[in-house]
Amino acid sequence: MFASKKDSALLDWLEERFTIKEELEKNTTKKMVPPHINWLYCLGGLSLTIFIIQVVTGVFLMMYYKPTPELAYGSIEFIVKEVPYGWLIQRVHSIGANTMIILVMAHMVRVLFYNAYQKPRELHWISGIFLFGLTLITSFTGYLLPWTQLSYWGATVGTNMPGSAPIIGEWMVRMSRGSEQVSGVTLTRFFALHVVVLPAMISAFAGWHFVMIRRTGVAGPF
Amino acid sequence: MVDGTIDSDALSKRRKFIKGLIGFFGIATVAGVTYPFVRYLQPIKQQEGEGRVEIAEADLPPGKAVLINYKGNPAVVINTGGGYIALTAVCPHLGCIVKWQEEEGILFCPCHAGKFDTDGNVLAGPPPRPLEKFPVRVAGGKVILGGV
Amino acid sequence: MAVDNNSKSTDTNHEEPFYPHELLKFGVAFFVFLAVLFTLTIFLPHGIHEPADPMNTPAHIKPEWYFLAPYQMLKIVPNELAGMAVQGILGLAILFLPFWEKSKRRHPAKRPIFTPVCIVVISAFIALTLWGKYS
Repeated sequence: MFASKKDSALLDWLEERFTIKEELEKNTTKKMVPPHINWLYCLGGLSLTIFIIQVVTGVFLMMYYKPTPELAYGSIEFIVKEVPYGWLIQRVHSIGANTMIILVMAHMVRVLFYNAYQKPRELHWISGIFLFGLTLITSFTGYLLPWTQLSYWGATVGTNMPGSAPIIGEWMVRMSRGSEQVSGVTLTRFFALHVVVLPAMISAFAGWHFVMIRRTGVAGPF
Repeated sequence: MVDGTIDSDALSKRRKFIKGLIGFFGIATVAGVTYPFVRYLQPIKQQEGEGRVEIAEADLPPGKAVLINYKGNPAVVINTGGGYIALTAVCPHLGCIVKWQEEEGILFCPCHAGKFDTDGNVLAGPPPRPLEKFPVRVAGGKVILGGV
Repeated sequence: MAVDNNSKSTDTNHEEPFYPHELLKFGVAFFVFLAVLFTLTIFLPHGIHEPADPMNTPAHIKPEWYFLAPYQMLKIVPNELAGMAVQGILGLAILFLPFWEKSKRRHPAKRPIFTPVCIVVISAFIALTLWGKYS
């Protein structure tokens, strides 16, 4: 594999059709990285890994989840108690959310102490901060979906936060809830954000983040 | 069609005009599309006249309180012994639901220990303003909020 | 190699191939991570949650751990708006970090102001989180 002397038949077959070998080499054996890259450099890749795990488990949860105040709690209970391996998918998703935040934070701290955000990598940092913020918002919106006491009052207190801002504060609170109090309207609103809008935004920002890191390469150890 | 029949000056003028036109319609389109989406997300107002709540006096002995849903929001109706008082049950601090403490005669918010008297005034804690008071009347053995 | 003072994009010191060096390292990290995640999944205690009741706020509600620090901060700052403003400024400072912190030195030991500030900020975050959790 990877353009060694004994290339596989599959690779040769592909090579004949769209010259894949050169491209592969350019991205593997001929792509140079700084020496002594240590284990901390895996944190960004692991953040991507857990994001993919969240997307996959999330899609599976959506197949049984019902985003209404009457049915949400019961549908999660059904997933956990009745659906084969539903408990596993639900728990990976909820623990995965916490893990993702830890990994993203750790990745940020690594970049911070390695001073890896300096020119020319300013935009890497900024896109990273957006990714961190989006990760937090995704966790916050997802937390409401099981419609438990904790999620309901967590969402109530959380959406109340902008309320103290002058002029637009009250408006922001009502826009985020879609009603005076957290209600079914809030639930479907958060559901749409959690399953479509935020993951799409994370994907876009992550794509930007990766394209830039390919262009500049990683900042090596000291 | 650059064949000499149009001089470059006129061409660049025309391009400038087209650019301006596209810019104008671009902004107009963004504004025109944003407005309905923002309106779409705004909370839908409750119909006026709805939200008449009646509580049987027998269900609300002196010193007790009940939580009701009044015009879509939680409200608390208290029988202080000297009369009935209706207040919003939503703490103005973070939106938690206040609880009636019979022994102390106060309303207590479980989130940050805000305390209110039976008129809704803040006695302690972080709430920035008093609880809103609703008019109550008694008729035919019933405590009535709202309606006419 | 000890001090890399230039942060040019076309780093001349890029001298190890991505494969096998880095990619295989990531492969190992990937499986270690999966093992940790699935161990947590199976052994962390399962919480029992009550369904939501909009008419009854439970006592002692707290946000998830990652929101505890800002939550606790808002709690200790007497003016809510001031607390929000401080957090907003802090957020913007972090967002635009590369534009106001431009030291060329890379090693933490060679950044006598920045490193302690970082440690203080991170410690404050952890302290607020713990304070929020146990208050």
